[in-house]
Amino acid sequence: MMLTKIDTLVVEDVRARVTDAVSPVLNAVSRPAATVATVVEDVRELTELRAENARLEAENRALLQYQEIAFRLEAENLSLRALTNYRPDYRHRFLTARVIADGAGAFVRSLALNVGMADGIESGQAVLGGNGLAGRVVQAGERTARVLLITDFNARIPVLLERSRDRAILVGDNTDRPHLTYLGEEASVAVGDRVVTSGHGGMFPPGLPIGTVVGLDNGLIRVEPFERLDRLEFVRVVGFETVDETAGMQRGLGGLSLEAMGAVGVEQAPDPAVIEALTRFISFGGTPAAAP
Amino acid sequence: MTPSLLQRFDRGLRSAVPGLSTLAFALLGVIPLHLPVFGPISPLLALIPIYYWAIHRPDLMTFSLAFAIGLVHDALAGAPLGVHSLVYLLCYWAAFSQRRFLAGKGFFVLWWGMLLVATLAVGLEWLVFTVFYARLMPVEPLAFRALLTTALFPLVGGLMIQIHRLMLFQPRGWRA
Repeated sequence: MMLTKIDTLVVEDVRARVTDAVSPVLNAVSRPAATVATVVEDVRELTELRAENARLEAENRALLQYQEIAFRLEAENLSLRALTNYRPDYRHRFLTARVIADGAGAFVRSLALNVGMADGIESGQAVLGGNGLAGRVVQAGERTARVLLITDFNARIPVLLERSRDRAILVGDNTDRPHLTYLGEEASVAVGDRVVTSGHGGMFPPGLPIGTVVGLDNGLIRVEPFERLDRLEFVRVVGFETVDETAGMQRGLGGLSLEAMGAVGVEQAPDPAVIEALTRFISFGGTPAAAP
Repeated sequence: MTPSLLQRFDRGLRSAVPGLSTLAFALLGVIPLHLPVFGPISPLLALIPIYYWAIHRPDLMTFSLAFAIGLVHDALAGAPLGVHSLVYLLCYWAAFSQRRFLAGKGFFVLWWGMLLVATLAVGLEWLVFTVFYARLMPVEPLAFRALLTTALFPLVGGLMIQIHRLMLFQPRGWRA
């Protein structure tokens, strides 16, 4: 224990090796466990299928409208970025992994994944569930990686309140709901505010959804994570990568092609050459500049 | 007569049973079950075989083995390395020191002993984490953890009794 505090490198190495060594066993045994959990969940869901279907159809109609808006805004955004020579944003590169072990204890909130350095996993990468941020890779072995969940006692994440743009730090305390600290004096927080990563400190890409503010508890502002952290079966590990500035949703940013999903009315992103020419045209006061 | 290779292999395998069975339960203990609110109160599965073998075969389940199982547990669960080594070691010692009283007694006496050892284990966990993080840790999940570990004793302990029998099993005409 004391060694953990003193010589972290050696300890982490030992931990990684042990996890690597038993990962085939864990990998094999965790599958039936996951299957049983899935079957139980399936049976429960079967009873609610009709209601769920109606809800999804309604949601789909609403989302299609949002998609229209998103396309329009994105096109506008792209052209404005081109006009202002905006530095390219980050692109997320995903790798899906299976959870093969969890913390199994009251005082440790962590997971082991079945991917490691061999798959390009590095310490510090963000880990997402289906709904939001789950945690961060704290240690990568050759074939396994350890994830510190956002609810762990040691988790500290720079966040942003989406509505007011106030910054804060999300602090885990081994409860299911982490809390916010270092909020500015004039910060405005309301129940229901969405909390996303701010990207400060360069640890996480900005804008990853984390949860919503649920209220005060003993003077602490509690955040309910979007992700059910005790039921994680598969997660996505997010790597950073600078984006090709003209790439966009319409071209399937994030690995999900809208054409493949059967979406209709897909517009083409503006041609990079056109944007470049336009930018030059405007920045040189109306004289079209020759390409170098 | 010197034992043949097969006999030595058989003997080695039999003496590895306590360690291997404990290791198996240490691994089972960290398998994600995807159950809501189960994580914090999940039982200390490896504690049951450690307790059982410390009483019945302390020659095969040694102090160092209990320590090593604790290290594996910590490495897999992501706990500070050594916490469960300490917990398992002290629980092992507690069971070991009482083995004359516990061995050969009925199942319910063993079960009662398990409750005491599980309570000791979670008490130690609480103490260590409170010191480690320098702040008071909640007690409720640990109480449930001790109860759940004890409640699983008939199942896991029963399995250990069967394994123990199997370990001593000698087919007719076989001399190990």
